[in-house]
Order: sequence, then C-alpha cells, then structure tokens
Amino acid sequence: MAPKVLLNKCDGCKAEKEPLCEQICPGDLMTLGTNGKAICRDPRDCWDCMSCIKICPQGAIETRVPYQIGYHEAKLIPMMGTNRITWTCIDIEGNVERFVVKNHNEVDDDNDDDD
Amino acid sequence: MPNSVDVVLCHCQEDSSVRLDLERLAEKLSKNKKISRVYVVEHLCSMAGTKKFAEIVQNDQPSGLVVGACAAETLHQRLSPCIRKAGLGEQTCATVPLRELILWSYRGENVLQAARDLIKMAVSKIRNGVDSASRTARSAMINYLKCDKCKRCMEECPTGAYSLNSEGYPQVNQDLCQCCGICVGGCPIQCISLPDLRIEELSSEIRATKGDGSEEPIVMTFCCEPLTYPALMKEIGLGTSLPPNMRIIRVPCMGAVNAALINDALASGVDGVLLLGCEHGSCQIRQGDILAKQRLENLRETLTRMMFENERAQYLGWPEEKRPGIFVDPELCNGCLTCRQVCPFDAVVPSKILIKGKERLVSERDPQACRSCGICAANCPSGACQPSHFSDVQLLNAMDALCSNTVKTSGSDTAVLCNCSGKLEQYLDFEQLEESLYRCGFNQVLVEDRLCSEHAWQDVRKRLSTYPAHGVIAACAKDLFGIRMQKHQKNVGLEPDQWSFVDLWEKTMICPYDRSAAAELCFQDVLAALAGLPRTNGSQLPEDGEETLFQQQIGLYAKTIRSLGPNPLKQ
Repeated sequence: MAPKVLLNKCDGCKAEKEPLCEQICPGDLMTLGTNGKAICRDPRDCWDCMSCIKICPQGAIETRVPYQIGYHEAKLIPMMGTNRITWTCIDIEGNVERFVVKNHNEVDDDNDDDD
Repeated sequence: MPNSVDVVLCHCQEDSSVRLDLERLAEKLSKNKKISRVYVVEHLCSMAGTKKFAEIVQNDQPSGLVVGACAAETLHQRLSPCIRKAGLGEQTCATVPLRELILWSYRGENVLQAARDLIKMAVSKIRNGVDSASRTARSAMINYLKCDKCKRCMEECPTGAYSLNSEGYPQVNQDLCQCCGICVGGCPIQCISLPDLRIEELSSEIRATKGDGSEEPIVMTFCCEPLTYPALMKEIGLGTSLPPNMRIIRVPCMGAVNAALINDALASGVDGVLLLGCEHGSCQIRQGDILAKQRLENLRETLTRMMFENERAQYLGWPEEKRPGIFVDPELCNGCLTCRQVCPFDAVVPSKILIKGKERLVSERDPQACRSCGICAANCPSGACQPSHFSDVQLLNAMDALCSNTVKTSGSDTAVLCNCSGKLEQYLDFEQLEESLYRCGFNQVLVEDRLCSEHAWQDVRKRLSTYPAHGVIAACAKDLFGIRMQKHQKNVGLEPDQWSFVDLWEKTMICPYDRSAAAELCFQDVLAALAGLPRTNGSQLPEDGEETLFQQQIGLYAKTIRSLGPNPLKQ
C-alpha cells in the first residue's frame, strides 16, 4: 500500500529541492508535487519499507498495513526517539499493540542497581 | 564516555536540612555502580568548601562531577575555576539545585528518593556527555557523518547563521550563531548539538527519571533559560510548591526541544511532557515559541493517530514579567519627541494631555513595547524621562555615597547583614563594618544568620527596636534569595518595597584579591544602596493564600495528567 501524505502537515521540507522522504526512499518513489508537498509517484512499486515515515520530521506520512495482512483501517505508526522506536500497531478491530525497538545509537541505559 | 562520576553534596546546616538526611542520601548514592565516590562537603560556597572541592577534583581526577547544592548557577560559576584547573571541561560538571527543588518546593513524602532521583538524572546526563576537549566551540556543531543536507537548520535559523559549504553541507557562522538551539530542535536526524546542549545527554537525563516512588504522575518540564527558568526559580523562592514528580530540564529556548526528546520521554513512561515557554510571539530569540508549538502540534496529531492521549504533551505560555517602565514627568516634558527618534523598540506614543487648562503634547510609553532600557532617559534634553528603577537622583546619590563615604540617612535606617552561619565572619570584620555603619547614621545594624530562612526574620523583627522606614539587606544570591527574603519580610510585618539589597557574598567571597578592601567596598555599597533606594521596586508579591498564575496553570495540567492515569507505554 502506498504511503499517504497528510497535506496539512507536510511542509515539503520547507520547499527544498529534495525533501527528506525523497532522499531516503530506496525505490526513489517520493518526490515533490506541484503544490510543494511530497507525493508518491508510483504507489504500486512501494514495498512498505516505512523509511519515509520514520524520517519525516513533521510526521506527515502515514502508511496502511498491506491488504494481505490487515485491511485499510489497520495502521502501523512509529514514534522516533533518540535511541529507540516505539511502534504502535492498530488492527482492523481497533486493538492497539505497542512495541519498542532499539536502534544503533549508543546511549547508556539506566538499570537501577542501588535499591 | 565518562565512566567515573563523583557526586559532591553540600551540607549547609540549614534549619530545613532536617528534612533531607544528606548522610543517608550519600550512603544510598554510593551503592550506585555509576557513581564512583560520594562526598559531603560543608559550605561549598565558602573558601574552605571550595578548597576542599578543588582537592577532590585534583586527587580523584573524575571524568564527571555532579554537585548537589543551592543556587546552582552562581555556584557553578564559583566552582568552574577549580574544574578548569584540574584540566576538566566545564560541561563535565552539573549542578543540581537541591535546596530549591527539594527543600523549598517538594511537599511529598519520599524526600530521600526524590533527591536521589534528581542526582541520578544529572549523573546520567554527565555519563553521556562527550569529553570536554571537543566542547571548545562557541556555536552550534554539526555531525557531518550523520547530516543528510536537508537544510532545515538553514531555513529555521533566526539569525541566518547557516550557509552551505562547497559540498552542500550546512556550516555555522560563529559570529552570527547565538546558541539558541532552534536548529537542534528542528534537526530531523538530531545531528546538531550546542556546546552545552546535546540531545543524547538530555535524552539520557530524561530516561533516567524514576520518580519519587509515589503514585504521583511524572511530569517532564522543559524551561527556557531567558524567561521561564528564572521565573520558575522565583516562584519557588516565593514558596510555591511543585507537583512532587515534576522534573525540570533547562533548554536555551523552547525551539531547542527536539520532537525525539518528547518521544523519548513518553516512551520511557513519563506521564506528561510540558513545554513551559513564553507567550505567543514574545520569544526573545525570535520565533522559538512559534516553531515549538508547530512541532508539538504535529506530534500531537501523530499521537492521536497512535491512540495515545495527546493531552500528555502540552505547551504552556508564560506571561512576560512586567517591567518597571519609564516614568515621564508631564510637567517637564516639552513634547520634543527626541525619545521617539532614539527608541529602539518603537515604544513612544505621543499624546495630548491638559495641563493647567492648556493642551500640550507629551510623550508616553506603550507598556507592551517598552523594555525599560533607558535610552530615552539618556537622550531626553529636559530630563523628563526617568527609568523607574534608576532615576538620575538615585544614581547620583549612589555615586556620592561610593565616593565620599557619607550619606544622608534619615536616622531611622536599618542595615541587616547576613553572616551565613559564621561563614562570612572568617573574611569580613563585622564589628568594624557595624561600627562604620553606625557612624554614618544608621539607626540599627543587625548581624543575623541565614537570612534566607524565615525564623531569622522573625528574630530580626524581635530585635528591631523601632519600625524602620528604610533598610538595606546585605546577603547573597540576590536574584534567588532577594525575592524569598521579601516574602519573609512581608510575613513578619515589614514593608519589602522600602528595602534594598547588596550582594555581600559575591562582593567579598568571590573577590580573589584583597578581602579587606572588598569589605570596605561592600560597606560603601551598603551606603550606596541606601541612597539609591528605588521609589518602589515594583515587586508584586502575591497575597497570602492567593494562587499565582503559575500554580493555577500547573495545577490544572497536573489534574489533567492525573485524570489520564499512568502512561500506557510504561513498562
């Protein structure tokens, strides 16, 4: 399923020539539309890698879970922290599941050991 | 990454230190594997205390330091020479205002745990700092390994300090950069940092908080350095209590808060994130508040889509402090409007008023625009414009007092000197000072211990034989304690507006040279302060029992968070 750009949130990376989603997309699918907002030029080629959603500083791109797994109400939304990503998965019945994935940024994590 | 962090706690023998058992806190902290040594030093601000501190730094050569004491900013300045001398960077030392955040404003049950939480946050911050060597720059720094040339920093920088180098990467003009951190907050891949603001540091500080162990919601509050942090400290000085688990993070501007930090806070189980910034459009750094609100709105929309209560992240605008303003004497003003030409803020409004039956043109000030800078006063040919705080007469009187050792006292003036538990006695001859003040016509001179505590003022009230019309207080840390003393004065029935303040501690203790000369200077300062007493110092102390705006707003926010229950992301 193609990424959907929320037009009221996307600022076209302040109308730079190459917005971040365009830079990051491995299939080179994202580009700037004539309205100065990002657009996916070939939705059928998108393989849902979620790179553009994770990089978007405005949180303006949304993807739906592919038809084979969910249905159009099902969503997968990342929340980017400095060294972890919190994913929220909402299925077609509206059940919410969240999980946390660490990334490679090295930050010393706190484990309490003085109690 | 610094791996040996020392903690130094200041033992201040204040009456309220009964509430916080420093020995037990030190014992608990020393069990933490991330802290190598814990020291309790008496009076870090005194000469002996600073010497002890310097010894600790020299002997241990720690890679990081956390100091828990009072008046954090002033103390940091006092201690930083010792840190530099030992070859460490200033940023490897963090000062935690334990007195303000725990003794003055914490009203919960678990004092020890709350204090430990604060110290641990600072330790985490220090542990994730880079070594001081790379912190010599005085402007924003870009990690070119991560930067992907999105140019957002260039678009958002309020001073236009960014330009592109030949490879298309942004570079910072050191002269234009004002270190506001707006680029740090906007960078989507968090590759920009300031000399004293790194996202990794802040994020580990945020994630280290565990709360005080009670059920109260943890609220992470970002305060900006120019406005809301001093305002908050002032509130605390006035005796406002904070929600027990409110944790404060200082940033240069609200625009420096990266969305990743808010995400980090929410993901690590913090119940609420509050951005405490300035009111709409009054950001001193320009557009910081607008950008912060915009970014927060975007984040809140995403949170809604995630089925997460977006009320947890909020922006709260703090009204700008009312300035004393410029006083224009309509009798003297001849309507030349020179002030209008020189005013940098366009605050002069010509208006027509009736004086003795005649209509005349005089200049007035727009209270919103006027910043009380006094440029109009310096240029006014007729002497009609006077800053409310520093009128010409006051300044001349003060100068007279400084030069001639004489001052016209009304015979009912009082000087109250703070001895700070005998700390100042070692360097300052109080008897001599008292004697010379009496000779200058002071009615009463009182030396009192710990003027920052209320019982000292009750004592002063008892010792006062007559009710003084004017008075001078000589103590330390004017910004912080001045307001607290005003509160105490009011409580014991004195009129705080008629008193002025001298920084006795800063003038004598911080002075590295001849201390007796400093003491003499201080004596003259006391006189000068008396001569330059403001007509009114514009302090608006809240009535007892009256809720301040801050209390209302924070109370409302805490209530919202409490009603939402614990953060669903808490593990």
